[in-house]
Amino acid sequence: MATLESRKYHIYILFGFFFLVYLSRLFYVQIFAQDFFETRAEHDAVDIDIDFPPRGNIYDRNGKVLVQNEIAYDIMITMRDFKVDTQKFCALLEIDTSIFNHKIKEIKSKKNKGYSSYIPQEFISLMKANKFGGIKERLFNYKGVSVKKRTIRNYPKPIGAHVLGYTNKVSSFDLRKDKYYTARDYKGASGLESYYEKELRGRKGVRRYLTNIKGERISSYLQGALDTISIAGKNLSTTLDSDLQEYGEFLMQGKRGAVVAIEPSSGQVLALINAPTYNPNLLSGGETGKNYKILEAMEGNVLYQRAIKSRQPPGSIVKTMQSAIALDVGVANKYTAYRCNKNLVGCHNHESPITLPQSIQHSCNPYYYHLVNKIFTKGRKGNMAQLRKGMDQWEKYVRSFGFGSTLGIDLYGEKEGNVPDKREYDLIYGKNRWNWRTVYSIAIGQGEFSVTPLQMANLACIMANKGFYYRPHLVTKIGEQNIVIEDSLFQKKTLVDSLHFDIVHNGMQSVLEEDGGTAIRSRIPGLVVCGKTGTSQNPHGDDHSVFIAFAPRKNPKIAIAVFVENAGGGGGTAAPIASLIIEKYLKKSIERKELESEMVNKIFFEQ
Amino acid sequence: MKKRGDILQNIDWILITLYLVLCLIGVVNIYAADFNPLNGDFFDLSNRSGKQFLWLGASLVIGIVIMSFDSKFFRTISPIVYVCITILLLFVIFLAKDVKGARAWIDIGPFKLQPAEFSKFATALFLSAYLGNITRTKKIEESSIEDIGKRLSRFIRGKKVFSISDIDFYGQLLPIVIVLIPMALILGQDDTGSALVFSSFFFVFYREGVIGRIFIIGLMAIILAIITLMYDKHVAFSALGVLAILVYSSYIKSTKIAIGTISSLFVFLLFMAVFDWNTSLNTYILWGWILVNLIVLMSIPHLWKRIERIVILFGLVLSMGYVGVLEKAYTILQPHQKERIEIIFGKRHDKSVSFQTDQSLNAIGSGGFLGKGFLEGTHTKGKWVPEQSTDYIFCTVGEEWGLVGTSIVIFLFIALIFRIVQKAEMQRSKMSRVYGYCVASIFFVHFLINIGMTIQIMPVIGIPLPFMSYGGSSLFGFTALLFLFIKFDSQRLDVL
Repeated sequence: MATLESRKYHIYILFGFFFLVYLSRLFYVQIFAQDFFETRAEHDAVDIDIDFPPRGNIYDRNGKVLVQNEIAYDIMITMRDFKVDTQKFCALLEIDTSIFNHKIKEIKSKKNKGYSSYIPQEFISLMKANKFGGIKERLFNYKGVSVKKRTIRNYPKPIGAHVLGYTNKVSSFDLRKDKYYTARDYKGASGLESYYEKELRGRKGVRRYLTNIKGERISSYLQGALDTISIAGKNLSTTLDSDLQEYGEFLMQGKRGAVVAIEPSSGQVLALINAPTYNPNLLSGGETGKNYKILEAMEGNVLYQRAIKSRQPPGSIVKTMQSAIALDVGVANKYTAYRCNKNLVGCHNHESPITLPQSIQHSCNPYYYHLVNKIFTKGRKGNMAQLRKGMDQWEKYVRSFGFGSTLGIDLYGEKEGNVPDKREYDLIYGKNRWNWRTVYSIAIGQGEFSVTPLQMANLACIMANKGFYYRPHLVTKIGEQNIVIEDSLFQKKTLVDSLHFDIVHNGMQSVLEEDGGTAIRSRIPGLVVCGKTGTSQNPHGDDHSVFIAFAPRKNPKIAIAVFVENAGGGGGTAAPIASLIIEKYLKKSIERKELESEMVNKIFFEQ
Repeated sequence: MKKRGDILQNIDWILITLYLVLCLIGVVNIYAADFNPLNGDFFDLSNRSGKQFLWLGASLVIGIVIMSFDSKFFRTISPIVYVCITILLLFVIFLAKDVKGARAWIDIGPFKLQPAEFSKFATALFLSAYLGNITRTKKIEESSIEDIGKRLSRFIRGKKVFSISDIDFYGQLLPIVIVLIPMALILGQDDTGSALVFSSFFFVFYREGVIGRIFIIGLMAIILAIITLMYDKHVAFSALGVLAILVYSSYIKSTKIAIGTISSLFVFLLFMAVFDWNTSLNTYILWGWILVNLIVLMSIPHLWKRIERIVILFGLVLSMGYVGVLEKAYTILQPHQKERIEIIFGKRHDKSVSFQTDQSLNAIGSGGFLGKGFLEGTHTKGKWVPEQSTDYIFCTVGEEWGLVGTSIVIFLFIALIFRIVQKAEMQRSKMSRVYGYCVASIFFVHFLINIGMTIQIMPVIGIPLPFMSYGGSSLFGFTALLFLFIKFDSQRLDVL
């Protein structure tokens, strides 16, 4: 029958349809999804043995160890052999049974991709050696328990937590970004550990094995073609002075703020102190995550790197810069005198009228009202065009002092701060709808002007060097290789001619040495120190105390900025602390014990 | 012109070649899947490759023995073979030990025997002998789509739709019973996979007119139900649309236009498969495309019979309603009932099963275009895919020989199955034709389920891949099936 015979075509169509579906499915699986399945297959069948190289040590400028390695132990359990009395096992490891159950569940969960009952699984990570030593003998009595040695960071002295940074387990983001890492790796998470991660980490040794379904290794993968040998991380030689760092942190206890000390002749950072600080050993080893959460929740924003991130109005310390600019522009000389007219801007009682060095000594606000007005207007009052031109000129000078942009220190997260300019005021008030009276506060370092403590210290360096600075940096050597070439190429000149600085230095010296000087209490007998106090106005609470200084005046060895939050005027807290640090650095011992204990005992917040 | 009687000249060497190539590909891959680095001897009988080689030799002997008989002999003994095997199946239910959840194996000396493998052969033989002998008493062809329309209208008017006399006992019922008896017995052995293979005889029934289009409609209803429960109604609608076009095309008068429409559908499906078809965008594109096709086809009325158009359209709307109701009904089910259904359809399975199928797909997918090379498959070496030399032998091909290898295997199967169908249609004797269809359909269902399982299109049902999977019983069974057809074919000129 013709109709029945035609049914053979239906059969052909039906069979053919499935053949086509299968071919296209195979085409999809083996060509388009090949990468996906290849990764999945490799993940299952290839076992990786990683030989972790020791991370590089970090030394201070005198070769003292700041960061080294310590052996820690991952406690591993092999589920197939693991049968223990939970109570006793937990008691030995000092954990709750609930935590025990949680961890076992975690090991067996689907998220643990490398799970096999034949392969040791991480149960407790990075147990420190002292704890491990105590339980080692008893631990090995349990079946299915093994130990994997790893290294963690160790800090002989609990100092420099922020600047040294810490290491942490890599995140899924890191894994995607840098193919070097594999899950459960550690990497530098902040500070120098993070900035010099590539140098410090060395290179992992990787050995790949082909495994069977039981998790047993059957051979090396691709005859070892992808295997590598580990290379140890390089050591870092830093510019930090561990004694100075320690002493600064000692003085800054109970305070919020920052201290930055730099060697002006090289830009080497001697001390970079953030307060409050913490013991860096807390963020090392198996308890890192837990401790991090505690530190994060603590009063005073403990983990914040104020020294390079906190942006505050610099206050009166900028008067040193304003004087230098005025001298260079030619609108003042050392005899230029103004009356202290408190109607213009608030000031404290002092003799009047005063000359330029005296204005620094007394930190006279009306004086700088006039002086900076001169820079801006060149005496042509009410001329907006001149004001705008003058402001541009001033801005160029200020930016040449390193303000308003990062200085390029070898740490991540440095902030730029802000140098106000005509565009900003046009935005705030409308084009040309502002005048000198609106913006005068920048003359005394308030208002829209903001800088970081690092930039304050850099200002001290410029003063010390009479008009130039070097890029502040923390590391001089990686391994055996010098990385900072002390060359004039790295010297950054300001627009101010060096011959103008002597006059400013006179004023800065009198700040500490002459009656009426704002930091007269901070005089160091037998040492000529030039300094300048500042008070950073704070709309949210008490003013911040600021002080910059360098010493000795001839051939300066140290430039320093001290910034203490909510501590009032610069002379009261910041200046004494700075002077003590200078004394410590230049004289190696402290004679003014009374001042020292007074400063240590100044507590601005309870932790 | 070929001479009668000269068997060597009348044998279809194409089929023999395809058979040998598939068997040899099988042995090579069994060697890789079972590779033991300590004993790499291909022919060593302690290795599976060695054993399979031995069985291949034995199969050839079986083949030659089969060819040496006259085809009339098989017609004569077919009822006896059928009855014996059926009794054996019955015994197996009670005697066999539990192996992998099925009581399908019996031990005869050093060999394990799986009677289900031979019952396919026996059933195929007996069924073709039976169908070859009867002359149809009724015109079953009437139960076509027009007929359904008539019955439907009678049903609506409240009249009797079916009566016993509608059923042709010898022409319809008995052939189906011949298939259902061994199928039921094998189900009794908990060997679902082998039992499922017996459904392949329904292709034969369809071709021979034992069952009418009503079968196709029933089959569609089952497939739709499975698709709806395994995936969702959107996928079911897509499948319906594809089917609608297929059916529509088959009623187009001009063969050229029909073939054009169908091949454009295939190209479109292929295109979608390449770009991972299970996205909603792709689904909408498919629907749109189907709609355009249907409208275009329907708007050219002179192309085809008017009545069919309305009936098919009606069927399409009815099917969509059916899918909707099915999904609605499914949501009313109790959670434990749902779970059972999901397990049956492989939507949800215990961890070890999903691990197994995932590993299988990993192995095939990671093979890529050219494969990792002979004995270089990491998943094969690590024994990641369980049962890799038997049910999952296709994984070894996929991993070590890549798309090149898998396509060669699939094309070899296409060639084999289509060649058998083509040869079956050339037979003068009805018995030979029916038998040919039986063989092609059995191979096809094995192919469909086995490879579908390894590439996660089908649920996990453990049946071997013809000629390639490790195992003597199945190789003997498939060889006997094929060689008997070759024998029938070689004698086709004897039949007048």
